[in-house]
Amino acid sequence: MAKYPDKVDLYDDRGRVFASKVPVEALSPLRNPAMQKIISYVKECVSVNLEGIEKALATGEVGGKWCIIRGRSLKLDLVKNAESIADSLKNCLQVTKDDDTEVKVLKGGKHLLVKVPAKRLNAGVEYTTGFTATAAALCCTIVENFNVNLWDADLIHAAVWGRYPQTMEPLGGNVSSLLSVPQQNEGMGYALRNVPCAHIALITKKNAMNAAALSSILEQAAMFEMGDAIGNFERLHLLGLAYQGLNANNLVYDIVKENSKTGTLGDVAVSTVKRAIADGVIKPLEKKPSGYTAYTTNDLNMWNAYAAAGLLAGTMITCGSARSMQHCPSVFIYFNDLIERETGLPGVDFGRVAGTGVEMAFFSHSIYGGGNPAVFHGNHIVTRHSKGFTIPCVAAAVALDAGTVIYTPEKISGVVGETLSEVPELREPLRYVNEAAVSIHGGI
Amino acid sequence: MVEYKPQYYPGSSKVAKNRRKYMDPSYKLKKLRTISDDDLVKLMGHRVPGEAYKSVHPPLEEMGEPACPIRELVEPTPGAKAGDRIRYIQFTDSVYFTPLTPYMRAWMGHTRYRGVDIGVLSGRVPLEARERDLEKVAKDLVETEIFDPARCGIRGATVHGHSLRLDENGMMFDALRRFVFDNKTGEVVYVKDQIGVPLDKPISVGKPIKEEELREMTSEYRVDGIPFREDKEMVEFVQRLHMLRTEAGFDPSKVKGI
Amino acid sequence: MATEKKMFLEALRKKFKESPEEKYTKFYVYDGWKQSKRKREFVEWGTKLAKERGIPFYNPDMHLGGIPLGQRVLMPYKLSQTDIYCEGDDLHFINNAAMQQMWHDIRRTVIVGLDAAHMVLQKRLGKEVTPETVNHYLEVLNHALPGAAVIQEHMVETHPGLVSDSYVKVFTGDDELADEIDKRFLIDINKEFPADQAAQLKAAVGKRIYQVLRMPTIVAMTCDGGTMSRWSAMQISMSMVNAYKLMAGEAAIGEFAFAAKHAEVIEMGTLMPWRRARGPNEPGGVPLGYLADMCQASRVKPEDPIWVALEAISMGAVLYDQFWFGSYMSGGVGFTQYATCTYTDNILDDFCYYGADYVKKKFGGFGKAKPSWDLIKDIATEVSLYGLEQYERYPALMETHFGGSQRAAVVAAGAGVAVSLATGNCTAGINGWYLSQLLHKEEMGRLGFYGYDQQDQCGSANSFSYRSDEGLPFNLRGVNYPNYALNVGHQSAHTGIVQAAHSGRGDAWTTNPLIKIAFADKDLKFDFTHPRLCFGKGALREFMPAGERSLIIPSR
Repeated sequence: MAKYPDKVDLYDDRGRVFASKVPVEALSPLRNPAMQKIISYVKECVSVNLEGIEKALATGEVGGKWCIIRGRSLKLDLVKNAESIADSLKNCLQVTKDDDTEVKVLKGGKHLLVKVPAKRLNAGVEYTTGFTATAAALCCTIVENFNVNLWDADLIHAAVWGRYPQTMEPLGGNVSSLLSVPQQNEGMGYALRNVPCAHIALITKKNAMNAAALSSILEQAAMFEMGDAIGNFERLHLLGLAYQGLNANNLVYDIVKENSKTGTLGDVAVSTVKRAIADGVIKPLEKKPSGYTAYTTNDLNMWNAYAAAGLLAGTMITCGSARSMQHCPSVFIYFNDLIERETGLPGVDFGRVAGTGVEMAFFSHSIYGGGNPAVFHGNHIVTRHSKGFTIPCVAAAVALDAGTVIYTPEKISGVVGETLSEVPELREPLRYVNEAAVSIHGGI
Repeated sequence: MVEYKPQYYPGSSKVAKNRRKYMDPSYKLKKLRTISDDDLVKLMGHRVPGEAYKSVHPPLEEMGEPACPIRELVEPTPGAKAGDRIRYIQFTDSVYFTPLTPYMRAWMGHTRYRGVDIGVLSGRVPLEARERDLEKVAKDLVETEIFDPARCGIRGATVHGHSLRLDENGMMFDALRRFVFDNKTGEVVYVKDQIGVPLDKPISVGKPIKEEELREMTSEYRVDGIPFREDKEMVEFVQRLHMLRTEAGFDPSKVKGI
Repeated sequence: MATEKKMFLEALRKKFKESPEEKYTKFYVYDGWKQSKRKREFVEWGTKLAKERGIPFYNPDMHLGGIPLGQRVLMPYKLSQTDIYCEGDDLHFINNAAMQQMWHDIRRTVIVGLDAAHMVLQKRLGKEVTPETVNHYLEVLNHALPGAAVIQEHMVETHPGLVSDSYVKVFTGDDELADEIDKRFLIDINKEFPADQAAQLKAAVGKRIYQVLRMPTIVAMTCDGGTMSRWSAMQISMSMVNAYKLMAGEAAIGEFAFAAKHAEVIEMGTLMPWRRARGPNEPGGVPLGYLADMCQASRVKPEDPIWVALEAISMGAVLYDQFWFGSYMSGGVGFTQYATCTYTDNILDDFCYYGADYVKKKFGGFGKAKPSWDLIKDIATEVSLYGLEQYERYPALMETHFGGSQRAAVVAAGAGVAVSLATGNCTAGINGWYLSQLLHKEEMGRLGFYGYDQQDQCGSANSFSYRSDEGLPFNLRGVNYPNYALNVGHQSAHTGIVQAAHSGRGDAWTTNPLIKIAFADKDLKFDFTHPRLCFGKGALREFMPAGERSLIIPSR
């Protein structure tokens, strides 16, 4: 039995209908098997830079920038032996022979994509297991396969784990996960918000719809984990995820299409309002002396979902037409300013997206700043204020950039984004989430 | 789809009407002066007139784009297509009856221009865009009624002046004295570009708009002009927005029909 | 309020030669930095020291490629509600010893309950605890706390001349016990607070007894806030061993250490997460309500709750805006120019008294009305529009607060303080602040710096939210509260919004009675009863701080 009456039509990233009248709860991280798979993969999938380890060992450059330990080096042919390392690593990580452990050799042995078996995560409480198990198993594998002795094992540790445990995180290490160490989380439940948009853009191969979708899934799943998407607040997030992140009813795609050739951000705001009126989401409240009509709604959560979809469409039009990521904070502030002045109703997340935009504009444009949008994620004091509605737009903006920045997504993401784009559910979340929603439709 | 006429902005006062007018892209901004393309390029100081646009990446057609349905749909601006750098023009607007306030520059900029990145501070508004797109937008911003030569300034850094009293010629303060009042012609002349580099030849941006005209054109509420408190519709608009945001923060599902 | 009564006019007349209503002036004729005595002093020192160190140094010709500061009037500042005028430079915390001392006095303070230790002594160790033994212990600790040995037989110690501001005192809500404590060690609630406030505080504390420990300022200057409870705990535990003749290594001593280091400790601030990582007793972890309670204005002039709030605001400006955001967080020279707006030139004072008068007239006094939409809309709108109109009426006022962030903070502070006064509820007060910010944005069509209104856009929705990391009574929020964690120019006035709600109600404290009492201490170097006056003395170079080093350095 569905908790909420809402049903949506599902579309793909090209605006083609996939299924009709699917309960919105089929798109909940609590119910949708593909979303749960994605969240599991985020914990279980780890990338290994074998080439990086080989180089670190050869030069003694381990544990962070310019740490070059004189008199210490090891010449090990890791890349050349990637296949055998992968076999041993898999063997080491496996709990049982037929479990779900995977180790894939990529780029001629330079990189490995590791999927740690779910059983290892289930036997603990921390999401760091994916990382720790891989890093530890890799150390064991290298020590064993290459007969590394007592005197050199510390160098292997440093090449794999970086400067950890002198540092809290594996500084300068060569194993990476999408998730950062728990100490870096801004608060309880923030783990899934700590994935930079650079990773998202690369994992989804810069497909803006899929980038927004993956980001929205992670952000909104985090809302459940943080304790925000519960009780009277659950529907706000479910609708937001469906309409903004997953293009429910083709809203995002339609608005983008309508404004694709000449539309401005203002035009996108107007298109969003028109659609909300047409769909009966908002209606006139009263006409003011100036002739201005203030609008009202009986379903503020739905209005928020429409506005959030409009926000993403506005990002796609503004950042898409300029093929530039830097424009996105301006969109976050002024799309909301415009739609609020157009209707008299609150903007996305009731001011929180505008607030996030204000700070993000400051921090991405000034001496106080912290880089271009590719480094941004939801686990930051600049961005955490909006509860899942801003970062998907940042991810889309980063995906749409044609190369306007020096610290490109590729530079920021390093090996992780590229490696994890090998996982189909992460690369094309819209497709897999839609399929999974249809598969459980009946159950809801 | 329903017939819908955009409203842009509430409010019953003359100031609100001006805001609405400037934000409405169907209203054609009145051209008040002509600045040559070359002079505008010099004022901004990003390239030498006649010099080719520098690029930050190859033209889109040459570099090829990732397989993305949104990129296929969304037409890039000419500057984006060519791979131009993103450059800026920045304005300071005095608090004394200028046509635009900083937020108006953003609201208007986003209703009229595509692919622009606008930031707002209390005393300056940077607008960034691909360079050839920027030059088109800048033309509007400097040549039309939304620019007053004396009380609006084109300033890259050391921008301050918006809140200071005016000088004896009615000019806004500028620590770098990029612009000066020419007593002979009665015109405002730029002697430095927006970042403060001296120009080889002064560039006139025309005569200051008279205060009585500015008072008609302005989008600034002021107690000695049109006071905000007299525009009850605006006061109530903001109060309601705040109330709705607050109630929504408490529980969005309880906000119905108000 | 009639023009002649406006509190800021006197300062404006001193700042500018033209009438405050005059819209026109002259620029570029003030001889640059030479118009300022302080800048001239800087140039003199800069020139001299550049020669001495052989590396180029302070040189105003470096400014803007040769265009010096002072193309317009470099105006003086009046410390609000004092007679002190100074230059802006004198209010930078590096140039102001009183500001430094305020922060050091906060950072070096730790409160530790004594009752648990007494229970260990009595129950586990069979020792008798009497007022006499407590006095003896306190005497031992006053020897040990500054850095002296108590049980060792060969030990280095600190020079008493460097650490003379370090001591321990105690307080209790039990008058009989207080009577028996040596007066040299007692913070006497009855003596320091008006009778009604003393009664509230004593009722809260009851028969319990608390130590207030001040570590040496030189420790606060050279180590971090996290040092303090560790320093105090070591000296407490050793003094216990000494005073009660205990065995130094038995298991029961571990309970003393646990009590002194953890269980019975109240730090002034809690530690901060990764990106703003700082230990305890650093500015970022001090909640608004704690800072309001550290301010002691409420016990010396309870009949003027507006003045009380304004004094608290000045501490917020210095601690949160100048120290925390201005240096700890942003780096660089800091936000002094910006932060002074809330405590100089009687401007915020004028707005707050206007709001208070409005509240009195409309709602019959302070703390008499319940929060409601009608009330918040009415008061916050009226005070905000009043403030904005003053800037428009007096160009000299606009020029004084030449940054929009200053105006936004001051106008909204007036609105927030007024709502707090009316309702006695500072969460309602902060909601009034947020309405003010939205009104300001729409009225002026401009607001603050690039990132100014981040919390103000989120603020309406987050005022009364009760979700995971959004809801919290306003007293307990601080600069680590998510929306506030990188938002300069707000928390100074937020301190006053908290204070106003409670001083309007006649409360003896806002959030923590122990902190209120701990700072009711005349032996602190900084005068927490009159912070603005004290900052003014610092500006005039008339304030003598602690942190002496001349004993251990060559004489000049």
